[in-house]
Amino acid sequence: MTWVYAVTLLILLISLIVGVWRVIQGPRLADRLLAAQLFGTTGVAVLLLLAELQSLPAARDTALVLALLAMLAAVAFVSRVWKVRPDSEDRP
Amino acid sequence: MNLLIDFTLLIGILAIALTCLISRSLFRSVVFFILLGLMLAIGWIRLGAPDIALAEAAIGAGITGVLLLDTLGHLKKTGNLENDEPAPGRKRLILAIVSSFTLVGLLLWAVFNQPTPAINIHLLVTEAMPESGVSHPITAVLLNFRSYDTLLEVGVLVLAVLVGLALQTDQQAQDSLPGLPNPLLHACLTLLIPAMLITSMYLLWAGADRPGGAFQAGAMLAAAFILLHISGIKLSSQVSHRMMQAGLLLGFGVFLAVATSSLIGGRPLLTYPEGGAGMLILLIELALTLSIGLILLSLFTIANSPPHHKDQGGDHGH
Amino acid sequence: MTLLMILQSILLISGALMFLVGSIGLVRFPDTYTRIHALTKADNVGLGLIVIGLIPASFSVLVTLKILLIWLLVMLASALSGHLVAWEARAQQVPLKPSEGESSKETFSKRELSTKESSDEPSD
Repeated sequence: MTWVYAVTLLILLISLIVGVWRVIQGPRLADRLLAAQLFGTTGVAVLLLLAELQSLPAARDTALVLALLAMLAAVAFVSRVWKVRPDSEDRP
Repeated sequence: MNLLIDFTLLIGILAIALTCLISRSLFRSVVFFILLGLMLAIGWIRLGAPDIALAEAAIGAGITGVLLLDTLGHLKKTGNLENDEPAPGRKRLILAIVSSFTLVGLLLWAVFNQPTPAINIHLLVTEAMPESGVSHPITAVLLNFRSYDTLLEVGVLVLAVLVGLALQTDQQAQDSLPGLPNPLLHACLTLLIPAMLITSMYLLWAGADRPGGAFQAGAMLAAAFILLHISGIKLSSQVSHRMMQAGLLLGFGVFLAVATSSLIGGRPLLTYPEGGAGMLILLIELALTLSIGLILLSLFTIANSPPHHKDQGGDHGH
Repeated sequence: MTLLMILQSILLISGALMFLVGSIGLVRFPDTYTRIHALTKADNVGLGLIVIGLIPASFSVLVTLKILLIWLLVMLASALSGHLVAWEARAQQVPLKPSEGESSKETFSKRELSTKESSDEPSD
């Protein structure tokens, strides 16, 4: 069973590397951020697998923390970076 | 197979760190920094250090990333965001490369030539565990065996906040950035914030016998506060200024009180009474969690003083 | 290898492949809106498959509940961040990829949108 976990992990890591391309490429800020979002989800999957592979239950807690903080970057990006312009006003 | 995974992870971490540094666009660097935090958390798990992984996931991938994004927003707002910095000169680049390789070399040398310690710390900790009041060795070290380190660390955090408060020039520094008036977000917050608070308490409680503890719990609490803050719900409008200040100091105060109270009983500084260690550690950690949460939040709230007068002619309004 | 293990392997591997598909979608799709689609759907299915595949691995009710909770939280986060990015992209009139014969500006001008010009310049 171990090798199944390992293969799954490897595919996930490869998918991370594929995702990096979008961060580098952009072209918009939002595209980069979306790639970061994908990384968050993949990271959760990787941690859950590692919890099983290394029999380290605390990895699940780390995954829980990541899952809870996953949207923080998106909210911060939209409210702090993207929306902001020198004379911004709130839209309805 | 394990080797392949570790190797991929290692290459990934190095490549992301490098891209983060050499990227010209600040925003791209920030995204890579967040990714780096994530990869490092996975790396720490691979190394079997879940305590650090938890802290890295919460602080490295979560809070620091948001702090950097917040900074970018402020730079953009004041028109100080310049993407096209001049590239560093060749001489400086060479100097940087040489010095960093020297540092890496020295560190490697230090790793391979570590002296064997005169005392077996592992054994000492294991032997002393029953008297520590907790059953997770890292918590025992942080809050019992070497609690003076932790006390001083918290002192440093409090000092940093005090300096921040002192630098806050404007008497009414209002947050100049807008919140996010999105109905779906605010509906989700009612679900998420309680989940984050419960997780924070869970991490605190877990610290007694599993990876977790005050720092991780405090980071989680801070994340909840920060999420509210960047969504446009200000904690400072709900709680009075004095209460906030008291909360900031509470952790350090409680820790210091417990540390010195042992002197009254004639015991040395920073020791716990027989049998009461567990309870006192929990009390300290509870206070620390709240204070760390507020301290991390204050990184966002007190740094918002308006820009200096030299760019007053810019297009931002007060 | 028991039947359960084979099932588990299929779930795990196909979950990981869903992630790969999501990443490829993120790279290949032409504009921000379609990329949101690739991201928020493929990943959550992928994570779901992996979570279900992991349940029998070392079965306990609490662990099962915890990883299911993690899955739910990730779905919530993904849905919300996808929504936020799309919401703001629409408000800032990020163009759709023009399909043949129709320009993206037209598609947008048909809708009632706030009329600020897009300030989301490509950043480099």
